Amino acid sequence: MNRREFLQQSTAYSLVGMGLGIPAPSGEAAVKVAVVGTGGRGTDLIRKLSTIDRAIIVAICDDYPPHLQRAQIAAGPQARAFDDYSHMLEQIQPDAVIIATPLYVHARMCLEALQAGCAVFCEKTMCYSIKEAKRLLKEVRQRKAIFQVGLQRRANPIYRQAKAMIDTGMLGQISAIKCQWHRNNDWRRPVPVSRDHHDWKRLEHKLNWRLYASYSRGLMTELASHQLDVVNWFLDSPPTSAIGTGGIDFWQDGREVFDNLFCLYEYPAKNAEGQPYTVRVSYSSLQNNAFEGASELIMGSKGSLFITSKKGLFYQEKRAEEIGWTKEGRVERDADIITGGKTLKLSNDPWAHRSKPYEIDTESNDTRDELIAFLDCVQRKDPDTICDVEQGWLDTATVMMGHEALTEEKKAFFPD
Amino acid sequence: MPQQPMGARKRDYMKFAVMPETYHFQQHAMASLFEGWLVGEDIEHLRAVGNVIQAEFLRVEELLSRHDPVASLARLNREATRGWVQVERELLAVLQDALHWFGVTGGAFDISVGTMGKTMQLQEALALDPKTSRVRYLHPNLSLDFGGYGKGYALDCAADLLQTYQIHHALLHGGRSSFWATGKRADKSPWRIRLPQAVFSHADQLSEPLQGGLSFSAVDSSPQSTELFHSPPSSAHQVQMSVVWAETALKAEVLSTAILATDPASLEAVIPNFSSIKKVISYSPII
Repeated sequence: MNRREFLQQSTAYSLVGMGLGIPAPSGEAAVKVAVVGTGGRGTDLIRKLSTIDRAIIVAICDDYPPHLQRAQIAAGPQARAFDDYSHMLEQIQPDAVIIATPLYVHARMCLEALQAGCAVFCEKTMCYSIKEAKRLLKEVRQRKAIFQVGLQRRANPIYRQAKAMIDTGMLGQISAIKCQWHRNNDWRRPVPVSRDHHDWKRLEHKLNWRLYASYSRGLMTELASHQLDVVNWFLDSPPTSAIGTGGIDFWQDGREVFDNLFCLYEYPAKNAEGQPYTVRVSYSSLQNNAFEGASELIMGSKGSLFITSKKGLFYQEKRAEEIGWTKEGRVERDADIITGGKTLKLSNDPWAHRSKPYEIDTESNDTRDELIAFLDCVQRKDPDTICDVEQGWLDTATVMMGHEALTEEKKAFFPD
Repeated sequence: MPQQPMGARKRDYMKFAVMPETYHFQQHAMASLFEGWLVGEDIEHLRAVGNVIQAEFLRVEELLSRHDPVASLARLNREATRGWVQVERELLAVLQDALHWFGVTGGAFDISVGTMGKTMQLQEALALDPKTSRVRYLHPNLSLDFGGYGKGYALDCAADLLQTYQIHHALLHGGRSSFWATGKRADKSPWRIRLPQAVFSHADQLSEPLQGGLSFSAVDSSPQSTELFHSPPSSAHQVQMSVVWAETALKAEVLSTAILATDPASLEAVIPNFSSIKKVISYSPII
């Protein structure tokens, strides 16, 4: 018996009692959820949804049968499988739709779900283009619809704690933020047929859509969007401008998106006295070196906060101790150098200025938490989701600024 | 394995199109080092399959780890003594499977940890509701650990992926205690597992080419020790060892773990309950 048969045997037990209209054990009516896009991320969302008692997965949809079959096992037999999205919406009329399809169809699917009266959870990045994002923003506003973008760091207790620490001034004046997502792999999905198969090329594009410009903006939309959203959130502002450099430098395998890129953003900020200044934000992503992985470093005058999805480390800045001979009234105060036979020097050692960090941990899974938060809004009919369409728009615009700076090799500005 | 620019690899591939290549990868998961060697003619495909398998090991860790607080099992251990907890269908299936092996081995394969004492056995303390995919612990001290199960399960999940992506020659291991192999090496020689002669005097019994799953377990049976070895011990100990060669990595791991908790007299009654077992070696040397 292989894994698939093993799981199917178990899910067969679950058929009874999971039909529509059955209340969640919490007593409230469960939310009827449909999931479209059942690739790696979509199936992960289905697995997390299946652990939340206020959700009933009523339908799953994908036009790629192997993914749909895998998702069916995770979702359970009560979920009807569709290969046509419009047909699914018409037949099922779910309360909420979760969209985890390739980027280039996000906007179209969101609009269709909104027109069908559904609440929408759309995976990041919200849209493929500025034009699409503006249209979706307008539509959601007009309908006062419940809409959430899948930027799960907004639900992560570590990031929420970090936001609180920044807002209360624990980091002092923030001067710079370094964000990165470094990996060492080719980011390719395997194709289940050999290269000489007549359908290989179509399948390769379908499964590796992240690597082709017609479907995705590559590292900017698939990875950077998470971290630039964190910056927008922490600084309460989108950036004003961006410059960047990038290229296909290592994986010269026919892909159309960069595998090595660096961007610099400028964010407007105000200091404690209300004076305007600029926060400099760097973003880098490369695919042949995984050093420090995916992380953000928030650098302020009082401390630095190094954060990942599973751990936060807060380092207070070491203050220079007041040295006796620098005090006024001492005879030596005018001396340039005072020596007692030892050398005093400032260290350039990167570790020298670090104090012992305060750790921030979490026990919860942020993908599960963001889904719980979304379902809660659906149940309460509350459009104020943890990452609403406004934030989705700002994130899309920020990502697209970087993309423009990288591909057109010019300074890009926040769109009108 | 140091990576080379794709262009260079592709040229190599074109030049030696009929020569099989080997792609090696490593992944830390479940407090162990997992490794894989995939053999085929398309290095790009091998690398992509390696990516998927690495992600699969991490996915299984996120399901079955009790040490990673974000993992599903860790959440279950935290919450299930207080009430019913809804879990992934896969976790429910794994729990049902673990209960099955508990019964088959007469309680020797036991995923419970904690101090339930003799008041309750696993079947009584672990309540499963398959209709709603919910789980509840009925003993306040019950906690679950898939240490003798997870690596075999992860390897079998990976084996399924190899089949999906038509990789017919591969060797995988988790922590050098659980193995799974299919086909042959790039030079057409068979996959073989060699345990150090110093700790494993039955080396000749493993001379056959490896196909399917193999698990090595050892426990320090010195009076004061309760330590379970997941790889051969390096210093002098009185140990109990088991090596099981089975159709799947999971079955091998479950039985090799159960043997360590089974007295020799009962062993003959337990082993026939496992189908498709190819070989069992159990002994207790002083090393």
